[in-house]
Amino acid sequence: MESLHITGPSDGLRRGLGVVLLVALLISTTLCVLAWRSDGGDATGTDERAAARDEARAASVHDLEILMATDHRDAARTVDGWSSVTTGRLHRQLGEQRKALFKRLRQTQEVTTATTVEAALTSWDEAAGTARLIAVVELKTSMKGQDVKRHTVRYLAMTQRAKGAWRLSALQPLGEVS
Amino acid sequence: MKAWWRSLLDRLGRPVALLALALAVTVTAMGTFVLVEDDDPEPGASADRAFLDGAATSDLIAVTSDLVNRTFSVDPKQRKKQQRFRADHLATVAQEQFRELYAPYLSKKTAAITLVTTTSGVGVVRLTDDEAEVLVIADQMAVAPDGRSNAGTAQVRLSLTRGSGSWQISSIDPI
Repeated sequence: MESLHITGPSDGLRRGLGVVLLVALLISTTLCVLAWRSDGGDATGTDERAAARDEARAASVHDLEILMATDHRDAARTVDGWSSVTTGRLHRQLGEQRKALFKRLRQTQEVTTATTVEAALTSWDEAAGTARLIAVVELKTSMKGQDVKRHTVRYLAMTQRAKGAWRLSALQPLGEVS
Repeated sequence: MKAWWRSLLDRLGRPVALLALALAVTVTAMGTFVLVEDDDPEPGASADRAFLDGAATSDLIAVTSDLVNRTFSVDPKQRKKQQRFRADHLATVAQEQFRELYAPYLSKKTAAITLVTTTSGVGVVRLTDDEAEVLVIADQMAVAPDGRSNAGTAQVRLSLTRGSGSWQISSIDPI
């Protein structure tokens, strides 16, 4: 009986506390879900766009290095490589000039390696699937009867997403060769 | 009071239920706090707003182009005006780097040489709210008083910081 006397008033208090805690739980759960949805949704969208931008940059640099590289010892692979990283008019031009390119490679016996020193996007349009990149590229070239030459070239590369991959659509030299 | 309500109150009033509720409130409140605090993006790909924020990127490119053309051009007739411009738009470190790089055009012996810099490309490496890194390719032409001229292309990586709304060059790194 004594216990009933003690628990009587505290039962009411505990019930009241229970209700308050239940309401607090409902409010904090709602806020937590809202914060999670807001935070998660924004971050995912931004992360995906950032990844797409970075992919465009990396692919453009890769394509440019392939297009700048030459090896007469494997002319077919060289020219096929150029074709594989290009699209549009540039791609068509390479296809039309294929025989002439083979001939030139045989004559010059050129071997060129290209290394990108710096590159950065000047534009990127995710919806249109287009990007522009400026790049400083170091070329190391050897040709029949000539010493190895090193020079720095700068290009404005225009790229386009075609069949799910970034391809070079045009190339414009910037400034002078040094 | 209805029976179901009384039953619910009875259950909520039990010590175990109170403890569980208190724990659940604490956990969800902490979760909310962490998510709200985490709103600032971590430094990484998505913290770099280059091209994700089209207006900010276009503004940076336009400002950089103008800054480069004016900072890296030397006109003997506007020496003081250009010095003031550099003092306003270059941080102390960048001013020292500029003086070191362009000493030949700033010395008294060659003070009459005019150097015209024209930006041909600005690429954005990284952009945040108050910092940016850009790659700049620019054509430069030096003209001596006797008419002799020399042209070339320069490439440089610039770091910029934004203070009170305007961009300032904080570092100049020739490539």
